[in-house]
Amino acid sequence: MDQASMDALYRTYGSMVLRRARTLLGDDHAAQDMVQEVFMKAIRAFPGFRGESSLTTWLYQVTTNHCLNAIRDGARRRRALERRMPAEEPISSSAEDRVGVEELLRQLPRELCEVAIYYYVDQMNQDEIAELLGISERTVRNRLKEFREAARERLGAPEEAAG
Amino acid sequence: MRAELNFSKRLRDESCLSDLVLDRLVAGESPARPDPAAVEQHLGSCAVCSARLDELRRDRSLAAPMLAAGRRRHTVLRRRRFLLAAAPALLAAAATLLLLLMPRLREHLPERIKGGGNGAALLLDVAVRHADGKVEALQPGGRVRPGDMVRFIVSTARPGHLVIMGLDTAGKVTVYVADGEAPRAIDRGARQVMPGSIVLDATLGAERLVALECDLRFNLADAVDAGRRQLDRASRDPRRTGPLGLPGCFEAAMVMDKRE
Repeated sequence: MDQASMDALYRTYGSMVLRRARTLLGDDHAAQDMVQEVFMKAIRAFPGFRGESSLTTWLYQVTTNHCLNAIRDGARRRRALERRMPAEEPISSSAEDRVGVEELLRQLPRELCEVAIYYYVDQMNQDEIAELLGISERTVRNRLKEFREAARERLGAPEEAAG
Repeated sequence: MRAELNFSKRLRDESCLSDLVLDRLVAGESPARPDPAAVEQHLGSCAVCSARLDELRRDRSLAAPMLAAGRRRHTVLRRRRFLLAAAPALLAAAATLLLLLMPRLREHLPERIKGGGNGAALLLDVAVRHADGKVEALQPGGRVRPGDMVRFIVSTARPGHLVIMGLDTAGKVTVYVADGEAPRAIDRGARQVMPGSIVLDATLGAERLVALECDLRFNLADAVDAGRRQLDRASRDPRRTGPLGLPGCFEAAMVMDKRE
């Protein structure tokens, strides 16, 4: 892929990847780094890209996977840091929420997290998620149900009827 | 631009268009599902999705500075990572190259200073008078001819006992500077010209000139034997010969290349 193609790819899809990374990671710098990681992967994978899905769809999946990896890795590192340096300042409620959500994404099985991200963050409907992940709508429904139950248990999130 | 990570409720109804569909529109892709006409129709009738599409389009221009900043930082990090990652390989390559070149380096690098741990030093300079009358300072690995005349100039930081020998490809050790059967006493001082000139013989090839200065009087035969041992260890290649290693002694050496 030449420089001009890379620039065009970046211009077209960069803001989309950045927005999703900021939402999922909650940190501007981490999101900026994530954009670079995603595009490096895109550039490496581009020669083998078969066009079976659109680039947008493919980048959605790559970003989701990389962000989930980062959240799981970050939670591990934060715990190690907290063991060595106990926090003296009280944590804000929004930060607590954020930590709670990240813990949820870290603890729950990956396939539940993916479905929840597409459903709640990207506002996809269930058949869209089923198509994206290559699973049945029933499986999507079951995974969402399982995720909601786990979230309610851990975060006290209100129950929401499945669509 | 920034959304909270909220897993308790959806922002839009399931009948609305997802961010994926809207992002594809912003990127100029044509979504296969729902079909473009249905998308168009929904956007015309749904204020929420229409507003979200506008928001994503605005995002694209607003994100440009952040994307540029990330790209710049990433370029720097990649360079650092490359250097960090490449460092072991570069060091290994440098070490290999050094080992491969060591015989040639020995040949060309000056070995005028070798000393013990007390900071003293010994320097050996060699002046050559060629057959045409031209006089020049011998460079490490410098070319000489049989019949050329050489003189030795020694600089030393301490008084001691000196011998200068030649180790050649025939395995022979020739004493050039001594005091009879004993080493020559030398005072501390710079650029001390040793008496007499040496006319180079017909033995061709490299010859290592070694100045050995010891703080105590020593047996000349011991120095000669040490020279022979080193030549044998180096398969009679004076360019690869190591230091004589006599205790309490400093060494300085230089290789000359004798050819017709």
